[in-house]
Amino acid sequence: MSGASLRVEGLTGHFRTRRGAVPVLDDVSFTARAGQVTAIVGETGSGKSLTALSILRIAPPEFVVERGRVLLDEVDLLTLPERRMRAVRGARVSMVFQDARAALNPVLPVGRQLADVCRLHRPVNRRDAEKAAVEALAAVQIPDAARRARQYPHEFSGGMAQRALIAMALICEPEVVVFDEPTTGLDVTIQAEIMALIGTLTAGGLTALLITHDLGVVAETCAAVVVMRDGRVVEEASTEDVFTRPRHPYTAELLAASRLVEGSLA
Amino acid sequence: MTLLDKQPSTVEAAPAPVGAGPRPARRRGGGSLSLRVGLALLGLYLLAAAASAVWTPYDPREVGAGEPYSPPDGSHWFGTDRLGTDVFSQVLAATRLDLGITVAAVALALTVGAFLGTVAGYYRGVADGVIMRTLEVLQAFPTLLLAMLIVQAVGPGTWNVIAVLAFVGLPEYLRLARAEILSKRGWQFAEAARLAGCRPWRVAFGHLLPNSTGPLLAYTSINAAWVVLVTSSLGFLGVGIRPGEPEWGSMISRGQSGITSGEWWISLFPGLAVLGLAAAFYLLGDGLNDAADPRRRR
Amino acid sequence: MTAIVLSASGLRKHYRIGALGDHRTLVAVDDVDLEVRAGETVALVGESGSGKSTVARCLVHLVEPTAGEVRVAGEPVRARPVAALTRVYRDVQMVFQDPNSSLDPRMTVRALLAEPLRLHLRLRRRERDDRVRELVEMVGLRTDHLDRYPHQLSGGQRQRVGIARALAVRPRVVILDEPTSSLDVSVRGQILDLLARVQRELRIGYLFITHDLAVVRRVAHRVLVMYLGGIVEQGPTGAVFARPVHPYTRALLSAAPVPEWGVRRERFHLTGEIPSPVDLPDQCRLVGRCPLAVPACAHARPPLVPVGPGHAAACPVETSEPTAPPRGPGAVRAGAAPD
Repeated sequence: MSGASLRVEGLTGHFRTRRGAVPVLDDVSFTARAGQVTAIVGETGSGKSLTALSILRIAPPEFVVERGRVLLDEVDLLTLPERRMRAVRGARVSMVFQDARAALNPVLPVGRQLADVCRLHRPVNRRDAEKAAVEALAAVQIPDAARRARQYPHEFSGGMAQRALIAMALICEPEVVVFDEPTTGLDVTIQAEIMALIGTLTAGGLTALLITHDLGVVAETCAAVVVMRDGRVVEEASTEDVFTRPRHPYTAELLAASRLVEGSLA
Repeated sequence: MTLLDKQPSTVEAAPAPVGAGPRPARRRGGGSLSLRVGLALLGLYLLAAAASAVWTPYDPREVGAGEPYSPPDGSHWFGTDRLGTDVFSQVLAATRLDLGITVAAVALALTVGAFLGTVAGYYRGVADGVIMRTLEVLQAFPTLLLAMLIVQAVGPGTWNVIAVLAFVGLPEYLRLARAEILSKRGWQFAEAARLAGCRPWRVAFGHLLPNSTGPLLAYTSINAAWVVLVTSSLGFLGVGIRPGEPEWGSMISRGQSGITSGEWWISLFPGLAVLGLAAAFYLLGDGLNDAADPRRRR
Repeated sequence: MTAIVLSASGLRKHYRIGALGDHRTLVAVDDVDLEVRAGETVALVGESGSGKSTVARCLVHLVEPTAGEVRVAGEPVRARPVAALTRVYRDVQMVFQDPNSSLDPRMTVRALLAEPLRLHLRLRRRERDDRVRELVEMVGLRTDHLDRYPHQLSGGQRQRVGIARALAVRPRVVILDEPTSSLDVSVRGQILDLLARVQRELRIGYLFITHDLAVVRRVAHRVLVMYLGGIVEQGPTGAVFARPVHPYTRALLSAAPVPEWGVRRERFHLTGEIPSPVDLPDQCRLVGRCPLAVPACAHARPPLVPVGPGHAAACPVETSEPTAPPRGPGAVRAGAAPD
């Protein structure tokens, strides 16, 4: 997996509604470097998820991009014809969604679903695809991957399902993976393991973009942080700077709110 | 503590549309349009019903108000029938009966069905078992046939017809109410209502049922339209409604021979009346469903 | 010593599952004892599937417990007659996790707040209006919020309404079921501040159910750690965080992410994931996942043993170490440890 850095430049857009255009993204720019995890942090309504969806051009149809570029190896994904974008999606840039169990098809074995994704982008036969699926499951540290591949999503725990979804995102060896709140709703012990897995993957060269609202998760795994608020990037810096020398007051506020522990009662 | 106290309240602004995305387009404005058209149509029928109580151009039972079989003209807008009775006056007078039967039967079925469905869905257990098994037996019969059989058994009369139509329409309301209540009884607002001091019956009827009216109201339209059609069918077959009462179905029946021999007006106008009323109910139910939910109100 | 406003002893909830001839027992809550005093916040911590929300519902009989006794303000809670149970809700109230679904969408804020005043306290209209205004002010909303529907409020505002409704009848104890887990972090802080202020003013006892350890550390006086239906460790918050004894508590605390730069946590790893709570044998619930397990762990379910002032843990390995000699013979009842 050789990573490529992803650069978003001046992404600006609005929602079409009955009452006219509602601006939602305003000049969003940042870089996600190869081989590290870059976090986009923000609260509800900050536009972080919309930014992620726009990178893969899977934002809801009401969302209109006014200007901006999403550069992967100097190629602007926003101007690619849809047919070529389909070849990029999944194969070069893929995404892991929040609710893993909802993202998996309940009536197909997990391995089969991974194989289908593989066959979508690669000229391989079913047997090779299924073999790749088992390997992908093993790569995300699912024990007994061959047996697990034959099981259905309901037989997977939440943490296992999230791993399977990550395996699905990785099966075509993409350069960039966007993780949209991958640990929200998981228990802390499972969350720690998923984050450790993401860390391992990036060490192998993957470019990871982590969308999250949890600064605790960010501190451990991410190299750089993009803080968003109301559709704008308020701060982009290394994780160390964000946590030790936040420049924007909002970043400081967010940190203070996350660190409830300070000045505790008891 | 102080650390958090000075947080600006701007962080907690009203729900912003950012990121959330607009709701899926849901027949924008169409709800209120169908409501308005439905209401207007129904209003017309109500007006006709009220008017017919005090005034009709001719006595709807008067034989020889005009020449028999005279086509629609200035003095007899809808023409006259075999006995020379004015068709317009009959259609007008029949509105009262048909509309009355429909409204009464639907209201009765809705009330009883919602009540029994709520009991079955909220309390489960024996009540649920008895109610649902009875229902399944009833639903094994074709509804129109069942309605005719019962009307034959209990004898003719407006109230009997209303009761039978309500009885036959009730199972669907019951089923809908039960399904809705079952799916919502575990919701947190039902638990919260219990803690707010509501007894179980108040949780069921004061909180769960009002939040379950959408499908029920939507069904009233279908049901009302169905009742309009069945009422006129019963009239057409001469079951239930006393002969001689001005009723659309029986009028269509009496005029049906005219369709082939050229006296189309005798059946057409009562037929249109049936159709219009059924349409009014469809539109009204559709509009009401949207209007009753504050989340969809604009 | 202040009055005990909520207590449970031997609380159990079993579900019979499976079809004909294949009856199995799902143990959601397994012999839980707890106590909450006036003005005290007790946190019940656990991961999903630990049974903590079932405990909350059993305490107020929204779920009928299989066994055990619950007392609110000293009076035993009984499910029948219904009127008696309803009366208990004047002393114990609940704030729910998801303010989206715990507020009746067809009621305005005013109606939501007036309902308990009308039903529990039988206040007249005028008194109700006054009290509703008072409540809205208390939780930091404006009176022009009164005529809004829940969907017209933000998540934080909705949860404020949920809190106001719970406080309307001036309860002695409030069960908070993950009250902040669906909120943004900045709003979370505001809600916690609100809860703390109200507690100081009214001396309410809180049973705070959560999986968020940062929140526990911030608000709780005492912590109960729950795993697979049972309490595995309990004690004063400071003691439990400073010296967690039970392997599960250690794993939980070490896994919690800390929003600080350069903090390297020493992870205490458990293997595998939380097993299904069906037909559990009588042994330590952590057998199979615990790196410290000894054969004795599989023989019987270990009782809670005191390891410090008010601090007890249910682990025979850790509690028998010389660093933490058991102070008394046998087990202490959960929550009954001396303060």
